[in-house]
Amino acid sequence: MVEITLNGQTVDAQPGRRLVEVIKEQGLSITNLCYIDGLEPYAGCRTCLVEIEGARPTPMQLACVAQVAEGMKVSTDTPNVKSTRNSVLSIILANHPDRCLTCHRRVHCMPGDICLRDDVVTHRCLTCSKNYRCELQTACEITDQGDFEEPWVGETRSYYEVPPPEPDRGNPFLEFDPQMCIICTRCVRACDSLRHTGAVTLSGKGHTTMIAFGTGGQIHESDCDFCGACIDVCPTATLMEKPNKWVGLATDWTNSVCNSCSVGCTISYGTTDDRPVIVKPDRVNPASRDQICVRGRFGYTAVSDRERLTRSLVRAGDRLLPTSFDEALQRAVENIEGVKRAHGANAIAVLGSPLALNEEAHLLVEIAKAIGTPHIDFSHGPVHRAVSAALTGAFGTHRLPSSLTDLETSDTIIAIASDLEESHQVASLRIKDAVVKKRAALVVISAHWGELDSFAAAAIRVRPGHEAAVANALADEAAAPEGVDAAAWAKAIAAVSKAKQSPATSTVLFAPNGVDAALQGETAKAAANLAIAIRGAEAASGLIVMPTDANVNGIADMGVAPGANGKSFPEIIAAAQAGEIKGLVIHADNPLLNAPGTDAIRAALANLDALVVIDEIRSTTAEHATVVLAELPFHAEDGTITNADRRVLRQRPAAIARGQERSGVAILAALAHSLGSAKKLTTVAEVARDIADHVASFPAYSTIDGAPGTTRALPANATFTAKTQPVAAPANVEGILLTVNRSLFTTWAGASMRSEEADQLHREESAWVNPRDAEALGARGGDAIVLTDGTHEVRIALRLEDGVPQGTVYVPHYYDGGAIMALLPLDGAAAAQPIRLRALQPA
Amino acid sequence: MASPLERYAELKTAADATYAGWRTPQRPRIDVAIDTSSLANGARATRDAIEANISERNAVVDLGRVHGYGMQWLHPLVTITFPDGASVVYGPVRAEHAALIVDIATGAKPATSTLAIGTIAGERAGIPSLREHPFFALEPKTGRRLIHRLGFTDPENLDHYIATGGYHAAARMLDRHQSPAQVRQELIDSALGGRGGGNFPAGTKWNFLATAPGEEHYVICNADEGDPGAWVNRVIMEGDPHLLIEGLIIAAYATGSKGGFIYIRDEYPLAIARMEQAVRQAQEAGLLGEGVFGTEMNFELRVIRGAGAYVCGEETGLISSIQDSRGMPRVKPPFPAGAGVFMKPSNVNNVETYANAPMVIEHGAQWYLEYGTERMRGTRLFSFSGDIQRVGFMEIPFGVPLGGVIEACGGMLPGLQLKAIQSGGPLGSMLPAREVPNLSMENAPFSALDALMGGGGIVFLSDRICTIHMAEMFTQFVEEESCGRCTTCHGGNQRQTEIIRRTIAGEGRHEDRHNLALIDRTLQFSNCVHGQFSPKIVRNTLRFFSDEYERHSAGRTCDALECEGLIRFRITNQGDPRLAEAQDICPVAAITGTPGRRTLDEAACIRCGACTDVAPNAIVREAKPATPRLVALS
Repeated sequence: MVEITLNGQTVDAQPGRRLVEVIKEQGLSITNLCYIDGLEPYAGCRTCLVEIEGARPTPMQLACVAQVAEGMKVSTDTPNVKSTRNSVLSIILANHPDRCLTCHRRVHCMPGDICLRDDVVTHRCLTCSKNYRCELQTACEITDQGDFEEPWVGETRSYYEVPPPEPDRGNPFLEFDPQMCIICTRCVRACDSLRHTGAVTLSGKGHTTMIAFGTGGQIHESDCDFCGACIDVCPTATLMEKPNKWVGLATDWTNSVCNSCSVGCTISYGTTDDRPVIVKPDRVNPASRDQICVRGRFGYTAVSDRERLTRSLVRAGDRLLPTSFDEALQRAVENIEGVKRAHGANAIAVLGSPLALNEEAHLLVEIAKAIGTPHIDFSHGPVHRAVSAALTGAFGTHRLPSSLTDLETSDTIIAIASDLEESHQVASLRIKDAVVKKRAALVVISAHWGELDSFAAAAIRVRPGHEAAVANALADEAAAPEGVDAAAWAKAIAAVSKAKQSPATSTVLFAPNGVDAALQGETAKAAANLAIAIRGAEAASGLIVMPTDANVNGIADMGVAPGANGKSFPEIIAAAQAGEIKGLVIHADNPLLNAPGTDAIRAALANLDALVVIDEIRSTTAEHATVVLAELPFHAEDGTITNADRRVLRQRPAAIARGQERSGVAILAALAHSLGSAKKLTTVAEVARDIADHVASFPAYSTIDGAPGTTRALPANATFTAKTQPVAAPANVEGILLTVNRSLFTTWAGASMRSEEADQLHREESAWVNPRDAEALGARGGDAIVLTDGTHEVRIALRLEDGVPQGTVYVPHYYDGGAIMALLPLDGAAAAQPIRLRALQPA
Repeated sequence: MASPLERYAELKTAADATYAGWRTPQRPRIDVAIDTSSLANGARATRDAIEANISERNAVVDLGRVHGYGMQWLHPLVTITFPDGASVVYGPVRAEHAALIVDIATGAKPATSTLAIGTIAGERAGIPSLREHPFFALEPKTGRRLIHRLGFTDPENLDHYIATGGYHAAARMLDRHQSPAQVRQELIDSALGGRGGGNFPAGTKWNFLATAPGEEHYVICNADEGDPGAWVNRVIMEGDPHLLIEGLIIAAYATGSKGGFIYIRDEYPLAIARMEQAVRQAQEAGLLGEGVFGTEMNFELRVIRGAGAYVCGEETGLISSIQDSRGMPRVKPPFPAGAGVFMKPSNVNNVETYANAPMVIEHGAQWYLEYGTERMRGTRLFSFSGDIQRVGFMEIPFGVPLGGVIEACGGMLPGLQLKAIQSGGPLGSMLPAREVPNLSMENAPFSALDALMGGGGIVFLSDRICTIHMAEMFTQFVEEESCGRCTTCHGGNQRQTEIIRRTIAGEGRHEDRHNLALIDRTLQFSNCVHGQFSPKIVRNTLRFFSDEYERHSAGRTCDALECEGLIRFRITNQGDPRLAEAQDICPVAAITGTPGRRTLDEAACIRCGACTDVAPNAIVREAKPATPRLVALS
């Protein structure tokens, strides 16, 4: 630390740091419209001018370029600085609607007022979507730009003469209005340096300089993933969220967490009228920090308020009729107790959700206890237990101390994941960070192409079902397994050898899918073996396991798992199909979407005497229910989740009920109470205390809130073994095999209702087929084809894709409400039997 | 293993034989000067006609190729070399002169002809030596130094370069004659300055790179010569490409660079072709690539084509462009010597700077210091154009008075008076005629006048030019070529252009001067020289042509009758038959009516002047009568 003088005050600052960051930290007002904290200066806006005593060639220097040095004397508010800043700003304003920015009576105006200067609405701040949250506006206020003699008034400015460029409103997430752009290029640099995507560029020169997406077409035609990093840095109304664009000026902010994958990015909901209108990243989770993905930013808009349940439903014949909560609850209890009376508690099962909160899961376990049934599970339970068993076999526990923050500091990363960019984008981003910034060697093992491949030193393409065997061969540094590209294998082996040189900065990442328990268990063993081969006794710290859904770890910790003689999820379905189980309580899950074996599940649901569903939407499963209890949407719930690296993150309510829906905790507590639970838990706080008391290594809320983002559900002073386990050899199945993965844009809620708008971009509505397979089939790209296992058929558009090898077809899991799950057996073994493709004649 | 000098001697022996046979050929040879300016003047047609004529008559004459001498007003130039070794230069030789030229070559007609300009070798009665031409009056008496090969060699022939002493400096240097530090010291002693215009000592700059950390250093040649009226780098690359390569080899050796780039603007296709060919030739001869001259020195040289952005002439913009990034100047620091191309230490110099290195190394610093002034040493290539009699380039020592240059260039075109000179390109300056006669050709006197001598191009403007109109052209150019980084530059230049454009449209305002000064001051806070220098021409105009500006702004008149808003076209002679043609050519159909009753619609007219070009006696370009203006009562 060195001492510098800022406007006469002595300040300690890190030498070499960009001056503008220090000035902002000191709370001094400075205009800076192009600098992004932490990135190299762009020095384009030229508004952060300050006076540095003795600087050459002139004392007037840019604070974003100038670096802190001992004894520096800086002034940010001399008359010279102010007037120069004013004249620079006046030049920016000349190419931006500026009528309100310099108007002397702007403080008196309301949006509905008639402008006394007769300025047209498109030139006024008061009618701009960014009004009151615009950095350019702030810059004008802090420099008293209105007092500056405006030299361009009355000038024939090309800005007002030329028709404004067309805004891009062609996609559901991002609006681009080039008319508002001041060419600060923050978006370009955010997309490039913060996201490593490079979808935004600067095009043209002189007065045609403009930012452009891709090659200058519409945003959705570019590489843009709609993460919105550009929105966060845009100082004006150029790049904005499309949903709630005009009402996004939040009156309150609620720090919360995203539930769309197991990274658990912390987000902040901006709310107006007790409903969220905007989402910004919240830096609490040290792995996500200032970045989120399209699901985090726009997840709250996935389904409209109209599509959500606001009243509970009870069955009357083949219809579900709305009713009051109390009546629905009473009916639910009657249903369950009726089954219990007729068939015994063993005829009732309880299903939890991998998306639910810890508190809800805890109550669900209480409900199972109150009913007296050991049959409690969730759709991803079998996979989670298989993976956990494999990890326990290797390390003595499945609660690993590894952290997602290790990714970006790793020198070698081996990712065994179908497509991390789509399923866990921010984790993928941190891997890219390591590759780009640290030149880390990345090995990707997957059955199909993913965006991470282009960052990888070696992308190992495997046949579905061979992931475990190939990963294990890599651990053994064996010869290239059959079917694996020899050149890529050699590079992967080289990466493993490099990793062994610096084991402490090597990470193995495994992202199991949620459907195929046997294979995921074997792959987890192989991943553990790989970590052990590289890091030896420290292997537990070098293996990150990322479940597909947000709170798999938490749900399992809460005890949502079959008790003694209890049935697992597929056994519950089979038993229901067989008529042994007659009653089912399902909380916030849709097995028809999430679980394989659609036919069996549908038959099981149809076979029930009582089906109590607690959900926020009328999912395809809820259609079979006898009672549906309306729950609040996730973003309105209060509680915690436990993410992939076992951080316990607070979810806080950002909305209130629109109708008669209630929080999950309230509904489950009432249900538990009515079913005669011994514990009298009603509020979230009570549930949380009960969890802290009863669940091992789960922290109390006070601890979580005291150390947000760093509190983890890990046993204290745990010791870890490092035991290599044999991995079963895969069966060699001839023919075309299916591979399924969670994709980026299709929302859980939309898919769960089988909404046609579940994928608002309509990008994920096709099957990837190798061009040679397509040729053999006689189908071209875009043609409709049918995938069939002989019994079931899934109709889907064909996409020619070199990224899948011959003999593999990739289908997004959530396509058409999880339609592809019909082709998988109840145990999810996609690789066990081949499917057939059939071309449909073009209609 | 052969030493570099032994290798050189081998190459030289073979080259000498080739060159001697070329200088004194067994059959007469006609060399057509093929360079960009001669091609623009029709050299291709001349050459084709001569070739056709030779084959038609089965004449015992060869056809060859040289570069011009600098007398570009006489292009297309043709040199005839006779078997006795005499060479006579003719020009301008058009296609219709083909038979005559072939006749002279075969001896069917005497060498004396109205087209003969001078001899460059041997003697021919009645034809003076070319050196005696007044155009060369200012060149060093001891002969050209930098461009001595121009006109005397085939630029596409490596042997010609070697036979005329080329690559000797590099070979001797590599022959353990000089250490890199000694080479750099020699450069420093010679006081060779950067020829891009800055005159920063090249040797000192090379020291920065040589002492930069890391193994991977690069030398980069800036051949993105984009200033209008400057074509000196093109002349070197088209006329003597191996000179530049040798200079780069010397620079690479002196700075420990293993890679080099020659960044040539795409508008120089012939220079690109000749440089690429020369690089290939040098590689094949073992002068580039792995083991230069058989030593352990490796030097890969690549020619890079620019993509048409003026701002890539700025060194960091050029570096960005080389690495396939958007051609935008970077923020300095870091300077290229610390983090240049691919963020590796690099040195960027102009073509002419590198091209001077071989002679400094060959002849030593003392020899080099012979010419020039205290502040700027050596000779420099200049290109002169505009409304002068003799347009061309010459190599003159620094410090020559500009008045002498006009004299050498034959003065202004008949009937025209010198009004201004424009130097340094669009970011340069405009100086009035009164400053010209005693202006010494070096940086300091120009700087004293808030002007820029620049990269070697000087345009002489006559009184038929409107300086305000000229300023509009330049300010529009710098506006369009702003890279888009600094708001001051891309926005400020838009404002400046708008004001100047409004002024020439006849809408000048009292507050314009104040606003232009404000833009000028604000532009100083731009990142690179493009923004910082962009208001210079307007500033010069307001200072030196203040009266003319006021006559435009307040007086609403353009004396040169150029500014669109201040002139009009009027039909003065309805009887002129050429009016029909004028009516046809008008792009906006402003001339209407039938013979004898034609009218010109002033509102529709865009003042392109095409009509007066075809019917000069029927349509007149004249000042627009001043419209009465409302004046506020006070």
